[in-house]
Amino acid sequence: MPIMDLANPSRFLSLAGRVLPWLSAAAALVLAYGLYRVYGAPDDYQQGATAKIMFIHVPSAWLAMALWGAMSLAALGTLVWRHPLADVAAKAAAPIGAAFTLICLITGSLWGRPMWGTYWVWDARLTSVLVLLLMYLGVIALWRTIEDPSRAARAVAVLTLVGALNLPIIKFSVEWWNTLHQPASVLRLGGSTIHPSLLVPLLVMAAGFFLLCAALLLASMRNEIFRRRIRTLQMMQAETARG
Amino acid sequence: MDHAAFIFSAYAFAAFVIAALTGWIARDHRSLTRTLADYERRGLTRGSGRNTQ
Repeated sequence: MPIMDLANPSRFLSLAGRVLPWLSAAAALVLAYGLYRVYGAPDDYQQGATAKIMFIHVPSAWLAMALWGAMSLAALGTLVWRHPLADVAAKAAAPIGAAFTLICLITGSLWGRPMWGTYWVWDARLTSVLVLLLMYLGVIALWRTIEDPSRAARAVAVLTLVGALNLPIIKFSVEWWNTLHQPASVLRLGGSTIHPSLLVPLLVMAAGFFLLCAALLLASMRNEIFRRRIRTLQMMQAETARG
Repeated sequence: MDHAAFIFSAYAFAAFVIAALTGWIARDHRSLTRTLADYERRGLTRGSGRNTQ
Protein backbone atom coordinates (compact mmCIF):
# COMPACT_ATOMS: atom_id res chain seq x y z
CA MET A 1 0.00 0.00 0.00
CA PRO A 2 1.52 3.37 -0.99
CA ILE A 3 2.22 5.53 2.07
CA MET A 4 0.02 8.38 0.78
CA ASP A 5 -2.99 6.01 0.78
CA LEU A 6 -2.80 6.13 4.57
CA ALA A 7 -3.69 9.82 4.32
CA ASN A 8 -7.24 8.59 3.86
CA PRO A 9 -8.71 8.35 7.40
CA SER A 10 -10.93 5.38 6.52
CA ARG A 11 -7.93 3.40 5.26
CA PHE A 12 -5.97 4.48 8.33
CA LEU A 13 -8.76 3.21 10.60
CA SER A 14 -8.80 -0.12 8.82
CA LEU A 15 -5.00 -0.45 9.13
CA ALA A 16 -5.02 0.67 12.79
CA GLY A 17 -7.67 -1.94 13.61
CA ARG A 18 -5.48 -4.68 12.16
CA VAL A 19 -2.14 -3.50 13.57
CA LEU A 20 -3.15 -2.40 17.10
CA PRO A 21 -3.62 -5.86 18.70
CA TRP A 22 -0.22 -7.04 17.37
CA LEU A 23 1.52 -3.82 18.40
CA SER A 24 0.02 -3.97 21.90
CA ALA A 25 1.01 -7.62 22.30
CA ALA A 26 4.55 -6.88 21.07
CA ALA A 27 4.84 -3.95 23.51
CA ALA A 28 3.68 -6.12 26.44
CA LEU A 29 6.09 -8.94 25.54
CA VAL A 30 9.12 -6.69 25.00
CA LEU A 31 8.40 -4.74 28.21
CA ALA A 32 8.01 -8.00 30.18
CA TYR A 33 11.33 -9.26 28.77
CA GLY A 34 12.90 -5.84 29.47
CA LEU A 35 11.78 -5.96 33.13
CA TYR A 36 13.21 -9.47 33.42
CA ARG A 37 16.54 -8.15 32.07
CA VAL A 38 16.36 -5.16 34.44
CA TYR A 39 15.84 -7.52 37.39
CA GLY A 40 18.96 -9.47 36.38
CA ALA A 41 21.10 -6.43 35.57
CA PRO A 42 24.06 -5.83 37.90
CA ASP A 43 24.27 -2.79 40.16
CA ASP A 44 26.27 0.16 38.86
CA TYR A 45 29.78 0.34 40.35
CA GLN A 46 29.20 3.92 41.56
CA GLN A 47 25.43 4.34 41.93
CA GLY A 48 24.53 0.84 43.12
CA ALA A 49 20.97 -0.39 42.57
CA THR A 50 19.71 3.19 42.11
CA ALA A 51 20.90 3.04 38.50
CA LYS A 52 17.89 0.74 37.83
CA ILE A 53 15.80 3.93 37.62
CA MET A 54 17.73 4.63 34.40
CA PHE A 55 15.78 1.84 32.63
CA ILE A 56 12.55 3.84 32.80
CA HIS A 57 13.94 7.37 33.06
CA VAL A 58 16.02 7.31 29.85
CA PRO A 59 13.39 5.74 27.51
CA SER A 60 10.82 8.25 28.86
CA ALA A 61 13.21 11.12 28.12
CA TRP A 62 13.82 9.81 24.58
CA LEU A 63 10.07 9.48 23.98
CA ALA A 64 9.35 12.93 25.43
CA MET A 65 11.68 14.45 22.83
CA ALA A 66 10.78 12.06 19.98
CA LEU A 67 7.07 12.82 20.32
CA TRP A 68 7.66 16.57 20.13
CA GLY A 69 9.84 15.87 17.06
CA ALA A 70 6.97 13.85 15.55
CA MET A 71 4.54 16.66 16.39
CA SER A 72 6.88 19.11 14.62
CA LEU A 73 6.83 16.94 11.47
CA ALA A 74 3.04 16.77 11.76
CA ALA A 75 2.98 20.57 12.13
CA LEU A 76 4.81 20.84 8.81
CA GLY A 77 2.28 18.39 7.38
CA THR A 78 -0.53 20.66 8.57
CA LEU A 79 0.96 23.98 7.46
CA VAL A 80 2.70 22.98 4.21
CA TRP A 81 0.99 19.89 2.82
CA ARG A 82 -2.38 20.04 4.62
CA HIS A 83 -2.10 16.29 5.16
CA PRO A 84 -5.49 15.00 6.42
CA LEU A 85 -3.95 12.98 9.24
CA ALA A 86 -1.22 15.45 10.27
CA ASP A 87 -3.24 17.42 12.81
CA VAL A 88 -4.96 14.23 14.00
CA ALA A 89 -1.50 12.80 14.76
CA ALA A 90 -0.33 16.04 16.41
CA LYS A 91 -3.39 16.23 18.66
CA ALA A 92 -3.16 12.55 19.61
CA ALA A 93 0.56 12.77 20.42
CA ALA A 94 0.37 15.70 22.87
CA PRO A 95 -1.11 13.97 25.96
CA ILE A 96 1.14 10.93 25.38
CA GLY A 97 4.20 13.18 25.15
CA ALA A 98 3.13 15.03 28.30
CA ALA A 99 2.77 11.72 30.16
CA PHE A 100 6.25 10.50 29.21
CA THR A 101 7.77 13.91 30.02
CA LEU A 102 6.15 13.74 33.46
CA ILE A 103 7.52 10.21 33.99
CA CYS A 104 10.97 11.46 32.94
CA LEU A 105 10.88 14.38 35.40
CA ILE A 106 9.52 12.44 38.40
CA THR A 107 11.76 9.39 37.95
CA GLY A 108 14.70 11.78 37.45
CA SER A 109 13.84 13.49 40.74
CA LEU A 110 13.59 10.15 42.52
CA TRP A 111 16.99 9.22 41.06
CA GLY A 112 18.47 12.63 41.90
CA ARG A 113 17.54 12.63 45.60
CA PRO A 114 19.83 9.72 46.65
CA MET A 115 22.57 10.57 44.10
CA TRP A 116 22.70 14.38 44.22
CA GLY A 117 21.11 14.94 47.62
CA THR A 118 18.21 16.90 46.11
CA TYR A 119 15.01 16.19 44.19
CA TRP A 120 15.37 19.24 41.98
CA VAL A 121 17.96 21.72 40.81
CA TRP A 122 17.44 24.53 38.31
CA ASP A 123 20.17 23.34 35.94
CA ALA A 124 19.83 23.65 32.16
CA ARG A 125 18.81 20.02 31.48
CA LEU A 126 16.12 19.76 34.16
CA THR A 127 14.75 23.22 33.43
CA SER A 128 14.58 22.67 29.65
CA VAL A 129 12.70 19.38 30.19
CA LEU A 130 10.29 21.16 32.55
CA VAL A 131 9.78 23.75 29.78
CA LEU A 132 8.99 20.84 27.42
CA LEU A 133 6.29 19.61 29.83
CA LEU A 134 4.81 23.13 30.04
CA MET A 135 4.82 23.32 26.22
CA TYR A 136 2.95 20.00 26.00
CA LEU A 137 0.37 21.32 28.47
CA GLY A 138 0.13 24.56 26.46
CA VAL A 139 -0.53 22.63 23.24
CA ILE A 140 -3.22 20.51 24.95
CA ALA A 141 -4.85 23.69 26.30
CA LEU A 142 -4.74 25.34 22.86
CA TRP A 143 -6.46 22.33 21.24
CA ARG A 144 -9.24 22.66 23.82
CA THR A 145 -9.52 26.43 23.51
CA ILE A 146 -10.25 26.67 19.76
CA GLU A 147 -13.40 24.78 18.78
CA ASP A 148 -12.81 24.47 15.02
CA PRO A 149 -10.24 21.63 14.59
CA SER A 150 -8.63 23.05 11.43
CA ARG A 151 -8.15 26.52 12.98
CA ALA A 152 -6.82 24.93 16.17
CA ALA A 153 -4.46 22.76 14.09
CA ARG A 154 -2.83 25.78 12.44
CA ALA A 155 -2.34 27.63 15.75
CA VAL A 156 -0.97 24.50 17.42
CA ALA A 157 1.34 23.83 14.43
CA VAL A 158 2.95 27.27 14.79
CA LEU A 159 3.39 26.81 18.56
CA THR A 160 4.82 23.32 18.00
CA LEU A 161 7.41 24.52 15.48
CA VAL A 162 8.48 27.35 17.79
CA GLY A 163 8.69 24.86 20.66
CA ALA A 164 10.92 22.56 18.56
CA LEU A 165 13.74 25.03 19.26
CA ASN A 166 13.79 23.58 22.77
CA LEU A 167 14.79 20.09 21.51
CA PRO A 168 18.46 20.92 20.69
CA ILE A 169 18.61 22.92 23.93
CA ILE A 170 17.54 19.82 25.90
CA LYS A 171 19.93 17.54 24.00
CA PHE A 172 23.02 19.77 24.21
CA SER A 173 22.29 21.54 27.52
CA VAL A 174 24.65 19.16 29.32
CA GLU A 175 27.47 20.18 26.96
CA TRP A 176 26.75 23.91 26.59
CA TRP A 177 26.34 24.59 30.31
CA ASN A 178 27.78 23.28 33.53
CA THR A 179 24.98 21.01 34.77
CA LEU A 180 24.47 18.67 37.70
CA HIS A 181 22.85 16.26 35.23
CA GLN A 182 25.37 13.88 33.71
CA PRO A 183 26.38 14.23 30.03
CA ALA A 184 24.98 11.90 27.33
CA SER A 185 26.17 8.31 27.77
CA VAL A 186 24.23 6.39 25.08
CA LEU A 187 23.48 8.66 22.09
CA ARG A 188 26.90 10.28 21.68
CA LEU A 189 29.46 10.60 18.90
CA GLY A 190 32.14 8.44 20.53
CA GLY A 191 29.68 5.57 21.17
CA SER A 192 28.01 4.45 24.38
CA THR A 193 29.95 4.63 27.66
CA ILE A 194 27.60 2.18 29.39
CA HIS A 195 28.71 -1.41 30.01
CA PRO A 196 26.79 -3.94 27.83
CA SER A 197 25.34 -5.61 30.95
CA LEU A 198 23.40 -2.37 31.58
CA LEU A 199 23.13 -1.16 27.98
CA VAL A 200 21.27 -4.23 26.66
CA PRO A 201 18.42 -4.07 29.26
CA LEU A 202 18.20 -0.31 28.61
CA LEU A 203 17.81 -0.83 24.86
CA VAL A 204 15.23 -3.61 25.39
CA MET A 205 13.22 -1.33 27.71
CA ALA A 206 13.54 1.51 25.19
CA ALA A 207 12.20 -0.79 22.43
CA GLY A 208 9.27 -1.74 24.72
CA PHE A 209 8.54 1.91 25.51
CA PHE A 210 8.61 2.85 21.80
CA LEU A 211 6.25 -0.03 20.90
CA LEU A 212 3.91 0.97 23.74
CA CYS A 213 4.02 4.59 22.60
CA ALA A 214 3.24 3.57 18.99
CA ALA A 215 0.24 1.53 20.17
CA LEU A 216 -1.06 4.39 22.35
CA LEU A 217 -0.56 6.88 19.51
CA LEU A 218 -2.39 4.69 17.01
CA ALA A 219 -5.30 4.15 19.43
CA SER A 220 -5.43 7.84 20.27
CA MET A 221 -5.39 8.84 16.56
CA ARG A 222 -8.29 6.44 15.95
CA ASN A 223 -10.21 8.12 18.79
CA GLU A 224 -9.54 11.55 17.32
CA ILE A 225 -10.87 10.47 13.89
CA PHE A 226 -14.02 9.14 15.60
CA ARG A 227 -14.37 12.42 17.55
CA ARG A 228 -14.23 14.42 14.29
CA ARG A 229 -16.80 12.13 12.67
CA ILE A 230 -19.12 12.70 15.63
CA ARG A 231 -18.57 16.47 15.31
CA THR A 232 -19.53 16.25 11.60
CA LEU A 233 -22.67 14.28 12.51
CA GLN A 234 -23.59 16.80 15.21
CA MET A 235 -23.24 19.63 12.69
CA MET A 236 -25.37 17.70 10.16
CA GLN A 237 -27.99 17.13 12.84
CA ALA A 238 -27.99 20.84 13.71
CA GLU A 239 -28.38 21.73 9.99
CA THR A 240 -31.30 19.32 9.67
CA ALA A 241 -32.97 20.73 12.77
CA ARG A 242 -32.56 24.29 11.41
CA GLY A 243 -34.03 23.77 8.06
CA MET B 1 19.03 -3.07 48.04
CA ASP B 2 20.25 0.53 48.41
CA HIS B 3 17.57 3.21 48.17
CA ALA B 4 14.86 0.63 47.43
CA ALA B 5 12.08 3.11 48.24
CA PHE B 6 13.27 5.49 45.51
CA ILE B 7 13.57 2.69 42.94
CA PHE B 8 10.14 1.18 43.69
CA SER B 9 8.52 4.63 43.80
CA ALA B 10 9.94 5.46 40.36
CA TYR B 11 8.67 2.19 38.82
CA ALA B 12 5.28 2.51 40.58
CA PHE B 13 4.84 6.08 39.35
CA ALA B 14 5.72 5.13 35.76
CA ALA B 15 3.32 2.16 35.89
CA PHE B 16 0.55 4.36 37.32
CA VAL B 17 0.93 7.05 34.63
CA ILE B 18 1.05 4.49 31.80
CA ALA B 19 -1.97 2.61 33.21
CA ALA B 20 -3.92 5.86 33.61
CA LEU B 21 -3.08 6.96 30.05
CA THR B 22 -4.03 3.55 28.61
CA GLY B 23 -7.26 3.50 30.63
CA TRP B 24 -8.18 7.02 29.53
CA ILE B 25 -7.63 6.17 25.83
CA ALA B 26 -9.61 2.90 26.16
CA ARG B 27 -12.49 4.65 27.99
CA ASP B 28 -12.52 7.42 25.38
CA HIS B 29 -12.66 4.78 22.62
CA ARG B 30 -15.63 3.00 24.22
CA SER B 31 -17.51 6.27 24.67
CA LEU B 32 -16.85 7.47 21.09
CA THR B 33 -17.77 4.08 19.58
CA ARG B 34 -21.04 4.10 21.56
CA THR B 35 -21.88 7.63 20.37
CA LEU B 36 -21.14 6.74 16.72
CA ALA B 37 -23.26 3.59 16.99
CA ASP B 38 -26.07 5.66 18.49
CA TYR B 39 -26.02 8.05 15.51
CA GLU B 40 -25.99 5.09 13.14
CA ARG B 41 -28.98 3.54 14.91
CA ARG B 42 -30.87 6.78 14.43
CA GLY B 43 -30.08 6.62 10.70
CA LEU B 44 -27.70 9.57 10.72
CA THR B 45 -24.47 8.79 8.83
CA ARG B 46 -21.88 10.93 7.12
CA GLY B 47 -22.83 9.43 3.76
CA SER B 48 -19.62 8.79 1.89
CA GLY B 49 -17.17 8.10 4.72
CA ARG B 50 -14.50 9.90 2.72
CA ASN B 51 -14.29 13.14 4.66
CA THR B 52 -13.60 13.13 8.37
CA GLN B 53 -12.51 16.74 8.82
